[in-house]
Amino acid sequence: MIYRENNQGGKQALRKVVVIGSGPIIIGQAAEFDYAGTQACKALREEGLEVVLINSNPATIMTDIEMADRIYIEPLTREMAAKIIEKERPDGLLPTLGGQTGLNLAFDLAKSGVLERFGVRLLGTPLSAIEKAEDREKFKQTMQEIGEPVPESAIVSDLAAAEEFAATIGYPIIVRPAYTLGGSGGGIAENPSELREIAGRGLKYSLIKQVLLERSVAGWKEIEFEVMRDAADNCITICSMENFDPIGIHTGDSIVVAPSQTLADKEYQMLRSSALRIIRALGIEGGCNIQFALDPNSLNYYVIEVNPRVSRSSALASKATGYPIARVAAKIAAGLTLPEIGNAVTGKTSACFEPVVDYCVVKIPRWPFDKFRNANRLLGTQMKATGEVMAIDRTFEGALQKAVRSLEIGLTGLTLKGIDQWSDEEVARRVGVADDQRLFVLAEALRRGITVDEICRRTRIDRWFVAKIAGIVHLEEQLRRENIREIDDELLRQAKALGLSDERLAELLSCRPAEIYEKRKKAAITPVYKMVDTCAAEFEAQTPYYYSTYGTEDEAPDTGRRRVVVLGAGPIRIGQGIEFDYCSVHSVWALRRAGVQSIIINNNPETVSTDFDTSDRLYFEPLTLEDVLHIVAKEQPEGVVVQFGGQTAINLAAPLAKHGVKILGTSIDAIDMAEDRKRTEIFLNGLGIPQTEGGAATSLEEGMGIALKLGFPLVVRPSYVLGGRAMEIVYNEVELLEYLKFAVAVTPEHPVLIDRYLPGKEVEVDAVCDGETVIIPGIMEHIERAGVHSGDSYAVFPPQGLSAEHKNVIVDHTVRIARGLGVRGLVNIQYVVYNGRVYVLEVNPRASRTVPFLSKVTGVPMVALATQAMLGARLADLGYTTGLLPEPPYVSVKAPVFSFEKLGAVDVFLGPEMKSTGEVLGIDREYSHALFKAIVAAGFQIPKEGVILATLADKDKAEGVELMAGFHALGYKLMATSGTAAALAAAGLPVTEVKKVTEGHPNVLTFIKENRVSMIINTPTRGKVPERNGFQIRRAAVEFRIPCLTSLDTAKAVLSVLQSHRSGSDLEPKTLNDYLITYVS
Amino acid sequence: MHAMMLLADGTVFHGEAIGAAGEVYGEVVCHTSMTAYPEVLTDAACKDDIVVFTYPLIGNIGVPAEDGEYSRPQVKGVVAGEICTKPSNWRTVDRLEDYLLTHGVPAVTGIDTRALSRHLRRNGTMRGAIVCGDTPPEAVLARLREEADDPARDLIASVTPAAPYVYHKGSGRRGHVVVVDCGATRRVLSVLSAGDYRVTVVPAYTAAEELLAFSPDGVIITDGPGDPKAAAPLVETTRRLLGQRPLFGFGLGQLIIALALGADTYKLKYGHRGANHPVEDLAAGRVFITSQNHGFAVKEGTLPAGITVSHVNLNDGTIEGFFHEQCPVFAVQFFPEAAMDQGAGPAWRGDLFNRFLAATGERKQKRELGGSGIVATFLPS
Repeated sequence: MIYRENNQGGKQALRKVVVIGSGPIIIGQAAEFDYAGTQACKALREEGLEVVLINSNPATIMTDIEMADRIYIEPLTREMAAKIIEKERPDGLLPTLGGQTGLNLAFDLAKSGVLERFGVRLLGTPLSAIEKAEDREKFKQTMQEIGEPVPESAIVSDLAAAEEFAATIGYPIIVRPAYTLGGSGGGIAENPSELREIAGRGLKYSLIKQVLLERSVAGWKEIEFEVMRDAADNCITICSMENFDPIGIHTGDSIVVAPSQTLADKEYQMLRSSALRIIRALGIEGGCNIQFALDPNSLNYYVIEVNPRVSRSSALASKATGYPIARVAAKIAAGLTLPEIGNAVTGKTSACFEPVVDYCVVKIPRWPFDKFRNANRLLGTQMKATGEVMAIDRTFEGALQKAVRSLEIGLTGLTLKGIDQWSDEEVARRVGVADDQRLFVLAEALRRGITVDEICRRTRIDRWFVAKIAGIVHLEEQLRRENIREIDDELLRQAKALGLSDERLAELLSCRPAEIYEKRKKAAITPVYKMVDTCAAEFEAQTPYYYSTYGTEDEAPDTGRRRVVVLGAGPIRIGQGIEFDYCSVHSVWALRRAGVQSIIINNNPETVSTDFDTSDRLYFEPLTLEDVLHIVAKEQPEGVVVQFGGQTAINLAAPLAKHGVKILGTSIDAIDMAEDRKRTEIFLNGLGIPQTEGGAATSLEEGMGIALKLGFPLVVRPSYVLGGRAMEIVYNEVELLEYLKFAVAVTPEHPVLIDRYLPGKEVEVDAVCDGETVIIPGIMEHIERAGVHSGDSYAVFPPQGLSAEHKNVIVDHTVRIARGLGVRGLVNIQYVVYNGRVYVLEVNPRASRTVPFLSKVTGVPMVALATQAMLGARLADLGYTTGLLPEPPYVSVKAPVFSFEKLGAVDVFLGPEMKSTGEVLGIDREYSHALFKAIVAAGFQIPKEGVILATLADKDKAEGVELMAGFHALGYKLMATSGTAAALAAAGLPVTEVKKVTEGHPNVLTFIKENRVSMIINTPTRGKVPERNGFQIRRAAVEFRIPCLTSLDTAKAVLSVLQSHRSGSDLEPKTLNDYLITYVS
Repeated sequence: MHAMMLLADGTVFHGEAIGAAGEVYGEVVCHTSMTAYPEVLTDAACKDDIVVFTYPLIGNIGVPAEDGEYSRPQVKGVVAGEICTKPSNWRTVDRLEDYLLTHGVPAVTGIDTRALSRHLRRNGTMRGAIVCGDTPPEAVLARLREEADDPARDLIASVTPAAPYVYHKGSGRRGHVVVVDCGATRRVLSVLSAGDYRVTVVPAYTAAEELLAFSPDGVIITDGPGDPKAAAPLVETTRRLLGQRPLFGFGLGQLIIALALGADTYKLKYGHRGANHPVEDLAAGRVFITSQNHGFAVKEGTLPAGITVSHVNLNDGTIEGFFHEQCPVFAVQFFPEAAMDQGAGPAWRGDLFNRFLAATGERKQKRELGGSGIVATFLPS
């Protein structure tokens, strides 16, 4: 039992604590909070506390039934949280582990009196400290009181005040909205018109309608400190981090190194002391992140920002040093002091020390520009990355190049594909453009003879970094003059120490990667593995957390046990999110339970899978063939598990097998059969199971031939990709030709799959199979018809509109496909039901995005069963039989969540290419309740009244009119552009007609901007024809935060919810366990 | 050029020579600081050591102007993973390798310093050698074996100033502090000069009478290199000052005071060398992070009655500070100024260094009022 001082100075027992999670993954708030929340829940339960968890994100480990005592997967709204608090009557609430979402909700609960009403104390950092750190004016005042410099700034609530401030201090000015996520809506204004635009948007985004204007220190060094403090005022700094990019680019979009590399001790100590003064002055109890701007030419600095909570940076600092910040922050919140908390890494010393590292860490963000080709790639104060990778080595160059490999953007090193074709002018110009490709542009600029000085002057990146890149470029040039037969071992060793991959070396030495590998093996140039131990080897450490380097001593001992490697999923990106981390973690746990030593390889610092105590052994490494083979060569595992790491791991299966590595579970041949369009067709034909007609094209001619046979519209996509990357629907020959020629450049190595587009009901199944028994925990029905990517669809379980007959067909097909392929592990099959017939859309021989969702709501431990099946267990022996499990007496709805407001110029309409970044779950006994919860949890603001604007494509008008009549019947006013208005009027519905964008003023955009529209229903005319009118409406909806639906199916779901509930006040929270009990028993 | 790092137990590491070429012998110690390599290299507490940096990237900022109290390095040799050849910092005046070359200090890079530090942690700090060129290791190892039995050497003599000097004239309003300089004064001096003290620095082997002739109101014994037992005359001087004047010792100074009080000291297996050592202030129940650079400690349980242990190292429980219950004698093992940096807040006012300064000021006042100036009668056992 933990006792904690209460406000009256007495001790009060703490028994039950609420932890708020961060909700769905969005840009600026990713898997790091699952990692933090999971650690926190564990840490609190270790202290004997009962933990009540609220989080709407089903794809997380933290919402797993065993992670907390009472788990509510419910919308993160004040109303719902208040109901949960009223029901649970906790003693305390921990607000600082759920990102900005959790903090904002806790703040809201405190301000609205909910906490006081139910006698709940805020644990950890007090509300006053949070306010001092988050409220710009209070923060500035606090900093001034302790003599810490902050840039001149003003907080304004309207544009006039912004212009007045700018007139006094001049440009450039940074604009930051208060209380938002990931710096949404911010930017740097260089002149009055930019100021009006950026500040106007910022005011809109700010939850408190405030923006901060501040003198820009763009170009200064950006240095961060992670600091911790306990209630007894013990303070420590965990880690310093230095941004490769100077101030001006959001730290979430910066390449970051740890520890700081270009600071003298005097500068380091100056900022460290400042950080300690700040955390004391704010009175933080737990962790916080402090960002500084340091003048590169003097000892002047400014305090830029303080985050009074665990953050993306604290997750990075934890992984970079081995110090578990979230765990310690949770213990501090529970009332412990730093010296009382054990050091989980050394197992001997306490948590009250400052980690030192004996390696270099590099983080590189993972941006979604490969999917959003129209997005603005420029980096600024608004974060755009969806995820990140981290790499560790004893050289900066090694860590940098490992990180580049880990990104999985098709690069072997610092050379962008095709960059050698750029003109000198283009290269020179791009040096000054801060976008996601600049790192590679710098390397190319150095190759073209642009000097280090010139680059430093133009980018204001520190010379140390640029000189290091120049060193790599220089070494590469030297290697180009060598050949594989004569190259000196010492030079090869040097190249490996500086992080050159075998693939890159093969390019430079004009040979095959395998030749390099063979040569190295003969010369014993192979990596050793070293431990991340928080103390630079000063103490014996217990953590099995390793990284590779080209040194002399290997520290990872052979345990002599049975062991299995699980490949992780790498960085979070659209289409491959936190779900796969969930699966990897569960697989590792299952291995442990089976008495097998579990070894994980991953490079994502935000995740639970890379926590030091998740697996028996963690290798923080890139997921490339070379890096994985090195580990396999060292560990000699029984096998490698590839099913849980998304396409990253699946893509490594065949190459690993070719090198004699045993792949556990479904065979390589079966994987190929499922992924190769031609072989799938033959296989399904053999089983007599219908598939959407189509084929794989390896050339333009072949593609046009297939189109001729099938007729338009068609779904086109490259083979072997996840998340429907570059998947499109084409409506005619011109579009198809353009796609094959330019969009994906079809070749024999990169075939394009062409399928008939069937606009039917999409259904998805995940199953576990041991080769015989096929467990089907459930069938999920998509609300949006085929054509919208499954990851962007609302999914309903159990299905509400699927006949028993169709269910039987789907079960039959699933069982036969799983057996036919000889699946050992998981399989995901997507079907479309069209004109009364069930067709197979695709078969994925691996864990899918829906596995966590389905596992949670059915209670079936799918990943554990799959792992056991891979190890050779028979599912029948575990008490399972083939077939669909009975449907539970409650309904679960998975809703997608998007991050469109972060990425200017991205079209938001839903199509075959996935665009969502995260998901939420709505669960209830009634379908309409579950749907309502899902919609609310997804952040969709359902208007209770007002105007609904409709602009519908011709093909959707008939269906749309019926829908709009429904809204009209509920009292909404209708507004539409000419064509749609005419259709509505013809149906006898009262409608206000407004001008299209091209028809003059005031037009449809005017009404959106003036907030006179509550919701928009817009269906794109067709596939991808640039369509100015619709695009502008959809973008304006995003910018002005007006709900916009682009699928009539989603709109119908919203309507059905509105027909049964207007307010949502009748929705009741219930724990996951409470639901499961009604199902299992 | 090829270079080797050899340890007395026969372990050999191969790397590249950088800095001055040559062959040097010394105690091999590991330092974990990630930014303070210029400070470490010039710290007299590292006199004649071969310093191994556990952080692999050394020399990133070159050698900055004014950092380090000595214009020259104190170490015998340097062992690093990598020494940066293209440093970057606005205060850089020299590349580290050029600096080492200028001062005749050999260095070896390309060493797996983590492997080396793990070896030393397990087997204890030992002597070693850096050898540049292709010298056969056998002769070097033989010499290391011979030297292994050498008695502790007095290193202070080579780093202490030759003659006394006035460091800060000042108003002397708060008293006169005499600093017995064992080599490593660190920033304690600048802290004093900012505080209305008159400051005189004297050589380590100034006799007690001579020292008292400066009429100090307080005496500080600084940090310095080597085994405190090798500095017997200083221990004797200190014994005679006990009870006569407020005394403060830090680093080596704490060990000297402990010996003067009749306690024992011993060599740590691995030493405390880094900027991250947690020290608990037992009275306040609080922990702060200190910077340390030493290889010896006061033996637990040997301090006489009447001495209170006030600070302990949270990692290994070693004594980090003590004071005398009757008379103003204070000592800490860490660098007190690093703790002062974090000293925001009232809880730090009980800090031993501040108590020493208070006692010094008090003595000055009493002296002006015509008192004897003797702070307490104290006879060491």
